[in-house]
Amino acid sequence: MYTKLFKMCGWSDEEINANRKRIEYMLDKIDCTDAKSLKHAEEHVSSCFDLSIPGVPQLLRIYLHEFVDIVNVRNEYDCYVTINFPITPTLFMALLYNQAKTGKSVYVKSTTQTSIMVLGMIFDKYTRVLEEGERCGQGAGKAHCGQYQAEAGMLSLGILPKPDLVVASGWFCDQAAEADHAMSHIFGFESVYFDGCLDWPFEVNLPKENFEYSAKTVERAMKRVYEVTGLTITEEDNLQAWQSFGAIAMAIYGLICTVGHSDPQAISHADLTLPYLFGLVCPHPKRIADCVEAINMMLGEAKRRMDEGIGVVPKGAPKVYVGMRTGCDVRMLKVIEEVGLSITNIFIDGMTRQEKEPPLFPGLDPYMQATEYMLKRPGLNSPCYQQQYHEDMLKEFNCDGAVLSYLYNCRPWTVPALMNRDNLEKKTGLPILLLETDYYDSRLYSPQQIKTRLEAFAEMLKLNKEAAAADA
Amino acid sequence: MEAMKRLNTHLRERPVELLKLKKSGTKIVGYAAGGFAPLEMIYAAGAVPVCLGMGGDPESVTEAMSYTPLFLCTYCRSQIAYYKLGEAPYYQLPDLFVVPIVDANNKLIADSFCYYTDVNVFRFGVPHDKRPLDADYYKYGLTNLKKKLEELTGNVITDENLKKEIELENRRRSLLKAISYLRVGADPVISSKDYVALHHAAFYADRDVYLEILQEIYDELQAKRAKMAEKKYSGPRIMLVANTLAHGDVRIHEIVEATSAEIVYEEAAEGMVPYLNNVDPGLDPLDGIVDCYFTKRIRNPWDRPWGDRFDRLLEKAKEFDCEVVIWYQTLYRDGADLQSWTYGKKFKEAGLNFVKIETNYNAAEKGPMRTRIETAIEMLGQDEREAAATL
Amino acid sequence: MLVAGVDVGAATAKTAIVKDGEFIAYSVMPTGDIVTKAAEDVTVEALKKAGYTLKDLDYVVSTGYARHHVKFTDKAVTEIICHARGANYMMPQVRTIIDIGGQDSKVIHVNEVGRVVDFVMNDKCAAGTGRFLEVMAQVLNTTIDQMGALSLTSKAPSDITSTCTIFAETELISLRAEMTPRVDMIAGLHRAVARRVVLMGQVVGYRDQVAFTGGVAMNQGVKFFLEETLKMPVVVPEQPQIMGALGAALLATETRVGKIYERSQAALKG
Repeated sequence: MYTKLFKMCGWSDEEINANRKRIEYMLDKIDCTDAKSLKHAEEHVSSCFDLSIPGVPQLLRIYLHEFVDIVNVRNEYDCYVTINFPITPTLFMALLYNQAKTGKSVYVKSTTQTSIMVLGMIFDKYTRVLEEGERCGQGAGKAHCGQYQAEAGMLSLGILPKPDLVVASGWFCDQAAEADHAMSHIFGFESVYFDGCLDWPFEVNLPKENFEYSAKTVERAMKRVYEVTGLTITEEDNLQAWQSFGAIAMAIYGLICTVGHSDPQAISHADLTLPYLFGLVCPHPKRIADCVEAINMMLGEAKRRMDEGIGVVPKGAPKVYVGMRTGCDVRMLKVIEEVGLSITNIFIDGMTRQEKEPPLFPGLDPYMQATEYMLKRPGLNSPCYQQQYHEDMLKEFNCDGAVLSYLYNCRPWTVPALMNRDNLEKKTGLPILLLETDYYDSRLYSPQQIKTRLEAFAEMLKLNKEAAAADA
Repeated sequence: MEAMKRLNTHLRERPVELLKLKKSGTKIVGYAAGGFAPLEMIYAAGAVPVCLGMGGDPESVTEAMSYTPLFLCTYCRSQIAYYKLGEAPYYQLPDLFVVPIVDANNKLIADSFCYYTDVNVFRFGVPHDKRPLDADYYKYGLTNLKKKLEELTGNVITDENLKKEIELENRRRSLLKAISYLRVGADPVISSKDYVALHHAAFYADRDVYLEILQEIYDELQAKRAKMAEKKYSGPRIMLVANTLAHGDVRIHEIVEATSAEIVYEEAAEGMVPYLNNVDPGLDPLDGIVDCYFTKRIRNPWDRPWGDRFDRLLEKAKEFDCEVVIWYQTLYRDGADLQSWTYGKKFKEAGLNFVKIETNYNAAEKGPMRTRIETAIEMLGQDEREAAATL
Repeated sequence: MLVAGVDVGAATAKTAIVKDGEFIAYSVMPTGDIVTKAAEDVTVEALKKAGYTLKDLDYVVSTGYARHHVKFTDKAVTEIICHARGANYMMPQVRTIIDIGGQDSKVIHVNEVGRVVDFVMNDKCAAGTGRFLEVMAQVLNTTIDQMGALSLTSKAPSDITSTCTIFAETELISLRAEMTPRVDMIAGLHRAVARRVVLMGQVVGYRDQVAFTGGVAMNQGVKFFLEETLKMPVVVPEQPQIMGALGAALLATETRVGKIYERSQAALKG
């Protein structure tokens, strides 16, 4: 029954046959064993992504593999560690390189993030886990983060087996680590933290003490990872991890920038979400080469379409920068494109000015390297740093406006939402639409409900463009 | 109490006094109401501290919608509105506003003041963990605060000055603690509303006046307490655990006052002077402040790991003979809400009635709040009813 | 001894009369604008049915959201305590009470003598209350009384939000535009209410047997979906909306606030 779905997602017959037990175990856990649910998943994944684009099924294939691994982890490994958002990919990949060398029965993965992507984007089974999360201390109507509400639900439903250790982070948002800690009490696992105080100065300023404190908390947490797993990070492991991560990150960056400058927009940002998310969670090292190859296939298709003048929106469509890409729901992006807006890029697709500069902390300390990488990302430090990034992106991609979408239940997005709109309006003079949305929860938001506002905004941008052309 | 009346009179005149001080060149330093800004340091710099910690007013919550989205802690987002509405004089006074950052919600206070006002804001981090590495980072923040205060006032904060101020702040904490502990083992000699008002008075009052009055109040209450019967309680005793008990937010107290019960112990992460510990005068002043303000303090609801927070709360409930816990949280203060689920169960397991109350400082919520609180209190009377039914 | 329990709720006022521990009469009427008048009128009517007047009452306990505004009451007790007692009197085997009234909903865990062991109550949000259904009935051009029977005829209940009245209303409008049968929308609404309340009550848990009380309990559709969601039977007493009033009257008889208790105390002292 599930063969069609898996083949749509790039699996071969041999792969399916070799993994039948593991697949069925996973499908059972997510309550997707009947024909109706599987048919729905087929329709859902086809509606979210253009499966005819070379590379898209291949990326879906990797996501599914990773998810099957996660759900089965307790059947196959003695020990497993979850690394949570914001995931420091080099650290967990370095641990996996170490695991490959030492042969220890340990699995390390950003299990929550990967799982919600698959549940949301392929199976459309996210609401069930959210409801279950509500039963486990993260009630509805309290603006709890959808990702952690889902984590609670997945743990409760046994989709995510209970980990031996969760590495949480308070860098982006303290809510994430608080939620993981609350769950550690409910489900009985241990949690450690990459810590930070959200105390960056308001202005663009990156005090070295903030990096140093954060890096030391990484070292402290990783010491505990070592105690639990026996895995450590050698210089060689770290180097391998950076090489792998670099290969993926550069492939994604190249693809997104290429599409961002295309007119008409060559590939939908819904499809670009697939490679983009691998920049956050990274596949298992054994799938890196496949992942890079798939991204390059998408790049080839984008270039072909650009050469032939093919796009997903009309040529000359107003260009917008978008404030948010969620990891489990691409419907909003599709609606923006449907109303005739060309999405150039989305928050944290690009690089900040400071990321393009030489490292503040040269050296090979894996903890400091990972810390500097993460904390120089936009959104993880000074409010003005984020504003500067927004301004730069609008300029770099010559945008006609911005759709500053934000998640109502995500503190780091919510805190600066109104300030960011006000600042961007003043600094760029461009129309900015502020859009409050939910992470996924189909009981709370519907992309179609937001469509009317987006249509009006698109009309305004089109009229602005026409007026500007007439003036010229 | 006569002394209380004098304190209120002083507080009524205080904004004008502070304005005069400001005009005469004294620097006014505002601080966010989390109890992590050491007042001794502000005094040692020759400045006068004033807490910006008002709450409970629905108008400010509505006004805040112009500056921040809805889905953030009610108390935190209303702070910018208190400033913008211009009706709270203390918010207009500070030459510097110190915001120790404890979570994303109170970060909003710092960010919104930076973006929407000309107020000079200084922030520093309060780590969630309490180990030496984290204490060092808090100390780093204090070192920066010290520099900032010296820049602002032109005065050098010497160890000697700091020690002198620590002594006075220790006296404030000791008196508040002594008054609180008069409620152990007997009906409270001071209502919780008045006791919390003493904490809120500490936000604004001249310290000399405050300490003098506080001493008088203590003496008077102690005499009253001495005449009271031990362990004979006229009604159920309640522990109030709040993330924020803002100045002006008295709804819970009003509801409880209308029942037969009494709140006899309060633990608030924001809105009260952390008074359980003093700064050890034997330590280096800065280390002593870190030890008292950061390390030894009962953890906040948003801190993680939760550490011994529950055990310490339970210990207080037992010490003060409480039968009911009112867990009071502001809407969207996620840390408090996450903790409430597990703590609620633990308090119930420990034999206490637990009731969670959430506020958006909205007038319409008082009815349901009242029903919840009254039920938690009435549940205690059921045992007696059962006994009576068997007569 | 003649006692009355007066429950002044958001939508209706109810009075139960108990004589010497036995439930003898009740009355229900809309609360209207003046709660004090509603309390008095409904009590007079209930007494009239039993052949008494206000003057004959020995003791009165008021409950409901306007419990503190009943002028002739001796004691105000919350509806949670009262519902538990009333339901225990009518259905002694019940351990969980789901009470959905006009303005709020509650799940109450009660022990064998009608003592509240734990409870949970909805927040300000109207989702999962009678008010929610009332708003939706208006959107669907029907009345709340008709909704229960209509929903039971649905073969494919619509998927409607369970967390927010505003979103649910928008969804209904969209569903109507898509020509969704009205009965399916109504059934979907009932399922949404049931799921909302069941989720809320997880904190206290569901122990056998489960009773459904309050005005909304007269709606068969909500009962059906509560059973479906809980996967266990739910019993509805004959007059589900008067449990609070009955409990209040019983408390007047039994509790330390009642005169019997006072008398027994006096007897003990004597």
